[in-house]
Amino acid sequence: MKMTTILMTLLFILPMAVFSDAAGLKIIANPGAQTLELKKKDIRDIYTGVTKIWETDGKVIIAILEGSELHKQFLEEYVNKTPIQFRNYWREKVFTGEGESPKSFKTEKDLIDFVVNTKGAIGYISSPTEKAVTFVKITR
Amino acid sequence: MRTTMKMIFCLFIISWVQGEGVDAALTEEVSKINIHGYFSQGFLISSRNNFILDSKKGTFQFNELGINFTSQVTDRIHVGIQFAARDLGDTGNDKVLIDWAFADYNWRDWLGLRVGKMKLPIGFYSKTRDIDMLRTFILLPQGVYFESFRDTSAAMKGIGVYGVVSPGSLGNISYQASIGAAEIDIDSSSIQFAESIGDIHISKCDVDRIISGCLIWETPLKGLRAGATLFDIKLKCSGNITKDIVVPVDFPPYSITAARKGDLFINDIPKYQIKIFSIEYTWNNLVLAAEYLKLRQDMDIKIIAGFNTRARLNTESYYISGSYRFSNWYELGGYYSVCNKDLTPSITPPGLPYWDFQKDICVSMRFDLNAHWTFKMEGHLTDGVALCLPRHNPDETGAPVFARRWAMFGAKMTYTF
Repeated sequence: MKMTTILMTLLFILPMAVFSDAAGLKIIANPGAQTLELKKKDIRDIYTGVTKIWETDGKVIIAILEGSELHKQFLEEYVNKTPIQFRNYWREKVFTGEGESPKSFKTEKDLIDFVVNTKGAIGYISSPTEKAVTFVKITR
Repeated sequence: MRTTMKMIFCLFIISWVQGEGVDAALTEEVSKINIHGYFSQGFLISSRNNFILDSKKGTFQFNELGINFTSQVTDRIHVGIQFAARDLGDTGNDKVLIDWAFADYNWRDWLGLRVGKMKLPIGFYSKTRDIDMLRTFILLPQGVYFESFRDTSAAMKGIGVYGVVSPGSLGNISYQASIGAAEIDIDSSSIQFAESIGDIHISKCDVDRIISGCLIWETPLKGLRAGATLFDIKLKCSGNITKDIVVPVDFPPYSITAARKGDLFINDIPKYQIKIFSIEYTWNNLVLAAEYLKLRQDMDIKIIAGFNTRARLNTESYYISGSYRFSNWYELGGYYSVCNKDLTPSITPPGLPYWDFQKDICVSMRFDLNAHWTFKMEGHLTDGVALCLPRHNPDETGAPVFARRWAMFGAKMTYTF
């Protein structure tokens, strides 16, 4: 009975904290951000410019892989926007002076290098990396 | 030509600054100067009535251009400036103006401060109405986003606070509140519209103050947001009467001349207030929106010769719109917009009933040639002429003449970088 309860508890808790979604999408951040756990809503707030400063201080700098399938998948999963809606959303901020466009990259390697070298940067990748990034745990 | 030269000059200066020093000296992501811009050229043609400009003949006097320079000075301080010019018939004429220029201090996500000239959020889409790339339609629903008020309600100089709060599971609530003033160009479309209330020529217009506030609730229901806006302006205009004001007396055919052509007048507007309630729902590639506007304008008109009158303009407008993106390059949208206005008492001789309303059905197609170039085509079928100006529709004697039902077609090409 005790074992059953433990198993049930584990089954319930495990899906609540994952390092990425089932499709292999991983959120990474610059180690200086010191943020290991974020909720889905936190990711959405970051990628829509609602959250501009990390809790540990320092500006949030968003990196994206614009034009990729991964970008589309990420936006659908976390931001609830299509790539075109996302682009126009940020253009609105740019042309009203309320924000700067996310940093856009063509390859995951470039994005990872940027995140590693830029304080406060956050991005997403599809494959594991050995570079010194912080993998963000997504809690529900 | 002057406009283009100024723009090129600005571009040159900033490019030089970037190349020579700023980029090289500051390696952090903050501190760079970012440059973005847009240029659009449109064409409008209408049947039976001129709308906004002399559109019956078809016109290319319909363009916008802008360029902005922004920089993240520190983690929390952001500065920027946007120069913009537009041409819309006999207004704008590509005169380069500072569209916005402010310093932004983002203390917390829930509290930031802006000082300078900033865009005003009047409804969901007023802040971006100059940037054609951001919407499906060429003309926003005119009852709520009337072109003639655009230059007055676009931006103000002053101080503002903004932020976002997240009350638990209720989603996000963002706010923006500002107070300040604005300059109204005497050649602006707002002045033209104000002159249309009677036979007057306005030569001076001073804004005492503007108050603006906006609340937007991103609801927990994915894709649904709702908002409310308040815009309140107090101003005073003065000028001359352009035609004798003749008032009939109780025993016709007698009448008295209350004021003569050339007499000075002062139009004190203690209240010009717009309230807008907005809702928008986005589901994948479908966007549905509806907005309701209530406008009240109180006027105390004093003619130096002695004739005084008090009038109130009430306008009530609403629209529903929908757009659907079929592919990366094609989007189809439409809206139905209604505007009703009521000027009490009427200062000019009363017109026909359809002079006080305007109902518009619009269908729009948008083609994204790539991430930077967009082409749009749009058709309107309209009943009523509440938003058509008499000065654009005179008969041989100069008196306004309108057709009740009319149509309009527009096309526009935009480049954004």
